This record gives sequence, structure tokens and C-alpha cells, in this order.
Amino acid sequence: MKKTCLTLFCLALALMPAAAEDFLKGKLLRIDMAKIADERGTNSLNLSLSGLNVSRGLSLLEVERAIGEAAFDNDISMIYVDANKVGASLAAVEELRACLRQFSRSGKPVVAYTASLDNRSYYLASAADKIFLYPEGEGTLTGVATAQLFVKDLLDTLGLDVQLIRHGKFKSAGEMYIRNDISPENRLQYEEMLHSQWDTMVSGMAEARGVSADSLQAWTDALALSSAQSWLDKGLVDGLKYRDEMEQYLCHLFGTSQPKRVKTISVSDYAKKLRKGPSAKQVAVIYADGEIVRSGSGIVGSSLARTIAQVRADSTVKAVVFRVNSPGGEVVASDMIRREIELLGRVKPVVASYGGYAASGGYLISAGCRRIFTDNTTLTGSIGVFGLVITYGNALKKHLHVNPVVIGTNAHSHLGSPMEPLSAEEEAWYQERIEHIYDTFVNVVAQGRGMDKARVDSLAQGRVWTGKDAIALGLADETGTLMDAIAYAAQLAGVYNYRITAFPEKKDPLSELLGRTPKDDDHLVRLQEYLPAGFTAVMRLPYLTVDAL
Amino acid sequence: MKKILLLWALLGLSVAAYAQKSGRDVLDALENKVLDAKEKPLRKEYKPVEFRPISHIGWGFYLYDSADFTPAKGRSYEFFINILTVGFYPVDWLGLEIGADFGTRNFGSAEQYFLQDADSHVMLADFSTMGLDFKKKNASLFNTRFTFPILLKGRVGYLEASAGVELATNLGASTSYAYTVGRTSTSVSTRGAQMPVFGYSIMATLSFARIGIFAKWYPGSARVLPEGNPSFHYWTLGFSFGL
Repeated sequence: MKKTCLTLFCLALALMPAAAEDFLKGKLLRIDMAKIADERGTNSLNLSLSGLNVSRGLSLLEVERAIGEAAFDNDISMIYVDANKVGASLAAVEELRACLRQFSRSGKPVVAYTASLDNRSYYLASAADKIFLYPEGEGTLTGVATAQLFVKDLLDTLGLDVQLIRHGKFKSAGEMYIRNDISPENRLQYEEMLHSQWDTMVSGMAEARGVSADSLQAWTDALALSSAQSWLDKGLVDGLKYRDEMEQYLCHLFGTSQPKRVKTISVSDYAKKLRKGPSAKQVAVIYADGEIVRSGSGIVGSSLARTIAQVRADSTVKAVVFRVNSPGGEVVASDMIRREIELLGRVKPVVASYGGYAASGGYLISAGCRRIFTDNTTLTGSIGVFGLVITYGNALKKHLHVNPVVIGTNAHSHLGSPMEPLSAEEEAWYQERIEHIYDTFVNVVAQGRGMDKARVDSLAQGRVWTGKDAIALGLADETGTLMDAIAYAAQLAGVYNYRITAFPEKKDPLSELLGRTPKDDDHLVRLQEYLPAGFTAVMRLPYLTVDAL
Repeated sequence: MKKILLLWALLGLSVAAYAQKSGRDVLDALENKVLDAKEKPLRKEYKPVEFRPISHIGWGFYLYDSADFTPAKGRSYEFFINILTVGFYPVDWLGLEIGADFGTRNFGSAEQYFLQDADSHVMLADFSTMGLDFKKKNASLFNTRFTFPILLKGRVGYLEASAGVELATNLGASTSYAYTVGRTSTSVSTRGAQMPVFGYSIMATLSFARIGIFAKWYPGSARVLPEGNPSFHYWTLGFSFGL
């Protein structure tokens, strides 16, 4: 008993906080947000006097991993974030915030500095322990918005006939062609979606800065944040500093007045130095980043399906994270991916991780994963399908005085011709196809999420949900970063020391320049024959231009 | 007593858990901390293996211990460029440096000069006996060579001191030549020996940051034609600069 008490006593003494904090000793990890733009880190070609060079951007995965490792690396004392230009998506910013907050909880400070602030850059900067703003800095919070265009009158003027065949009153992708204003359903879903995203941002910013969300909303509505001083007065930043003063501040944290003494390392250099892990035990991250297509640029369904099959056959891959950042796309291409994910999930644990979008076809391909990690601001759902038929025979007659004449052997030989709109019978036939695809979609979701089909149908109808709402509705499981998903997948596979490998291989811009593109699968070409030319069934979320984010 | 100790231990653990500092706490504490007025000198980042070039230029004089040759001393100049120096530092303050230099040494401004014959014998020659109208003070003799200093080096901050041996060779390719400048119309040149010539010197250096001084002692000997075989000692003092 005496020994136990004495041991606990000594332990308590050892853990007592030190009387005085020592100056930082290690390195400063610098993160320049302008260099983090998209999921995979874009490779770009640069022509210079020294020749044609490929410069490689940093992927979100590399940054998240670097921040996570830095928290436990004795060589790294703090993180400095240059938040001048935040090019990353809202969901990526949300994940980076989570990583920075986690780093700060390890007892190491995070400092952010910027010359201007807007919704997204401040949302990111608020994750820091202290924020400093350039004294003449500017910017404000405005809330988020989107702009929709409706062109029915224009198309009527041009004489184009547009027929939208869809299932889902919220499947608004083609509405812009057939209406002059937004439908009540579409307005409702956008309003709720935008409010959900903005509320996530406000609650994050308010909690980090110790202000009330209501105050933040009020300041936003009143445009009360304008000058740098106004940000400081309201406690949203911690100080105003010129660049040289900021440099001196950082030097002071390291106990010196000389900038040369402060050792810094960029997050890209730090990421390159991280240990890769054993090649015999890998967690694969398969990216579905972009619109899903049959051919061309984007996620080519057959190509990604082939990649997934290769990962399935690779015995060194023990678990898979399916990273989805897609608004959806073509039905057949999406289903090819879905099927391969299903086959993969039979032999290895597959966990989904959502980026900015995992909607429509993007949701279809991942609904069957064992667990779905999402960000609160992710746009997902949009369980619905539509087809669009645009014909211009009447336009030719009206404007160019050209009269097309179509001759065929059968009643519907002209089906798919751009000269004549669909008849009522043909439109009904297409509607039946769309209903079948929708039904298949709902079945996939019901099976993948373990939900009742009727319940899925009530949540579907093409409705877009934020990740936060999707979790509440059972369409996703939890919020988490890409690294959280990887850790979970590894845990499912029982591996604890592993290498993270990304698939598919990142495109070499030089090869793209030389016109070397992946060959499409012949099998896909045969499948296309089932769909008449000129008609394409699409599961796609309409691209949101969410402004002022 | 046991109960008191147990209570104290539990209280300490609670305080420790409660007092786990956040990043902001750390910043607040450091912002108020006063900088040490005496900062330690700026030191280079320690690397166990260092690569650096250091060029040096030197001035030297030579001595003979034979009375047969006068003058007993003269001046020379040398200029070497470092190709590579590799330093192995198991600890920050002590290491071994191995270098590879290429340069030339000039024996000038003496009445008698060194020449190399086909047998690679260094010899003194009096040009006046060769019937040459030679303005000695305007003539210079260059001897190119490769040198490989192997030095034990100690350092404190930017102050460094080293000592060791410098191996030298012409690798069979150096050319000893003389030329005249000024108004002298006659020039003499000789070809270097085809056999490699090897030599060594004892070397010591002292430097601060990028500037230093060095001293070399060449305990060489040479057979001198037409007769005699004096010991030949050669000193060089010089300064170095580099990275």
C-alpha cells in the first residue's frame, strides 16, 4: 500500500505542469494553403529555359498524414499556417481543421497568419490557436450562396425542344432547361443545404473563438467585419502584425531574435520524409474524383473498374478506403464501378470516405461500403436519375428555313434523332427506363445501408443532403477525415503497421499532352447499344456554384 | 499517513490532467517569456557527414639545409581549388576531413629554380649556366599537382582547427614549366615527368567561419644535379576561404 501511494505520488509530481514554459526547440512546420488545391494534388507541366518540368502538388492525404505524424514527432514544435489564399474545397478545409485541432490538442501550438479573410479562409484559420491579420487586411464573412440559371425562354427563342425525363421531384439537374425559375422543391433543398453548410462553419468558428454563433451570424448580416481592426475588436483574431512583426513573433516563440535560428520545414518536404511502411501490408486508397463518364476526361467507369479489380487481386492490400469526390455521372459507368466495389467488399474491408461531393452516381458507387465517413459539409444523396433530350429540328425550320425530313423503316426508327422531339409514347418508354434505373438505385442503397426500401425512397427523390444531415438520416455513418477512414479500415483488417497506397496512379501530364489516354473497354461499347443514341441516362448532381464560400 | 499520501497523489494526478496545456496556453506562456539577453552564437546545423569545397591560396618559402645551394631560402606561391571535402563528424565538435584539391605551386623569384627531368628528379638549375639570358625575377615556375589532405578537425561554433597529413601527387601528368614575363625575350619550358611523383606534407589549419590560415611543412628531399643531395624542406603559410 505504501509503495502504491508513493508511486502515485511521484507520478503526480512528474506530471505536474512545469513552473515555466520552455521556448520551442524543434522545427516549425509550415503549411501554405495556396498549394493545397484539390484531392490528389495536381501535377502540372511547366515550360522553362531548363526544359519541360513536371511540378507536383500536394494531395489532401499527404497533408493530413503529415499533420497527424507531426503531432507525435519531437522534431516538430508547432505549425504555422499561411492562410492567405485557400484554394481547397469546403470539405477539404473541414478535414484540415479537424487535423489542426487534433494537433493542437497534443500541446503543440498552431498559428495562422493572413492578409485577408473570407468565409473559407477564416473557417480554416479559426482552427489555429492564434490568428494574426495584416493590419491593413480586409475581408468579411458573408454567408454562403449559389446562383442558378434558367434558360427556357432562351431555348424557346432558339427553337430548341428540351424534354426532361426524371424520377425525383428534387432531381433538379435539368430544370434549368425547362423552367424560367426555380421549383419550390429545388429552392427548399438548396436553402436547407446551404444553411446546413453555413451552420457547420459558424458553429466551428464560434466554438474555436469562444464567441456565440448568434453573434457571428449577426455580424455577418450586418457586414460588421470590414477592417482588420474590426476583426480584432470582436475577438475573431488575436493581433494585427506586419510580416516582419510576424517573423519576430515566431522567432520569439523559439527564444531568439534571429530568423535564421528558426528551423522551418514545409509540409511538402515533411510529407516526403515520412516513413512509407511495409509494402507487404497496404491500405489502398482508391480515388473516384470527378464526374463519372463512359469515356473522356473524368472518372472513366471501365478504367476505374479495372483498377478496383487489380486491387482486389493484390494480396498485399489488406483494406481499402474508397475516397469519393464525385457529383455522379452516367448510369452504366457508375454501375460498373459499383459492381467492382461490391466484389472487392466480399474479400477485403472497404470503407468509404467522402470529399466535397458524393452524390447521385457518386453515392451509388459507395453505398455498399462497410462504413461511410463523411464531412459535415459534404453534398451527398441525390438518389435519383434523369435523362435529357434536346432536339433542334424546329430550330432549323424556324431560323434557317431548313426542313429536316426523317424516313425510317419502323415506328420508332428515328428514336434518338436530334431532328424530332419524342412522341408521347416514346417519352413514356424513356420514363419506364428511368423508373427502372431509379428502382435499381434505391435497391442498391437499401441493401448497402440496411434500410427499408420505402424509407430510402422517402429520402431519395433526387434530394441532396449535406453529410451532417445524411448521418442523421442513416445515409452515412460518421464524420471523419480521410485519415480516420484509413485508420478504421486498417483496424477492420487487423493491420497496424502499413503502407498507404493511392490508386489509380496519378496521371502524368506529359502523357496527357502527348495524347496517351486510357483505352476504353470494348465491353462498355456493347452495353451502349442498349441505350439509343442521343439519350444518356445520368445520375448527376447539378454542379453547384456555391459562391462566397 | 497512507491516506494522506494517497489523497495527495490523486490530487496531483487530477491537477496534472486538468492542467494539460493546449496550444493556446503554450503560446500565452511563451509570449510573456523574456528572451535571454545573451543568445548563444549562431551555429551551423550539425550534420554527421558534410560536403564542402574550400579554396585556398598560399604563400610559402623554402629552405635548404645544404650549404651548397644559395640562397638557402626563397618564396613561392600556391593556389589550390578544392574539388571536394568530405567531413565525417561522429560528434559535432570532432571529425575527420578528407579533401581532394587541384592546384598549382609557383616557385618564383629565386636565383635558382626547380626543374623536373625525364626521370622525375627535382633539381636545381642555374639558368645562367645554361647560356640563357634569363631575368630571374620575372620568371616563374609552376608545378601542378593533386593534393589530398586528411585532417583531424576540432570545432567550437565557427572556430575550427585541424591537423594532419596532406598527400600530393602529380599523377604523372603535371607539367612543370617556366615562363618569362616582362622584357625578357627568352623563355624556357619543360615537360613534366611521365612517372607520377608522390609527396606529402604535414598540414595544420585554423579558421573562423569562412576564413582561415594554414601551414604546411614538406619534409621532402631531392637529388640535385649535377651533384649533391641536399635535404629539402619546404614551408608554406597561406590563407583559405570557402564555404
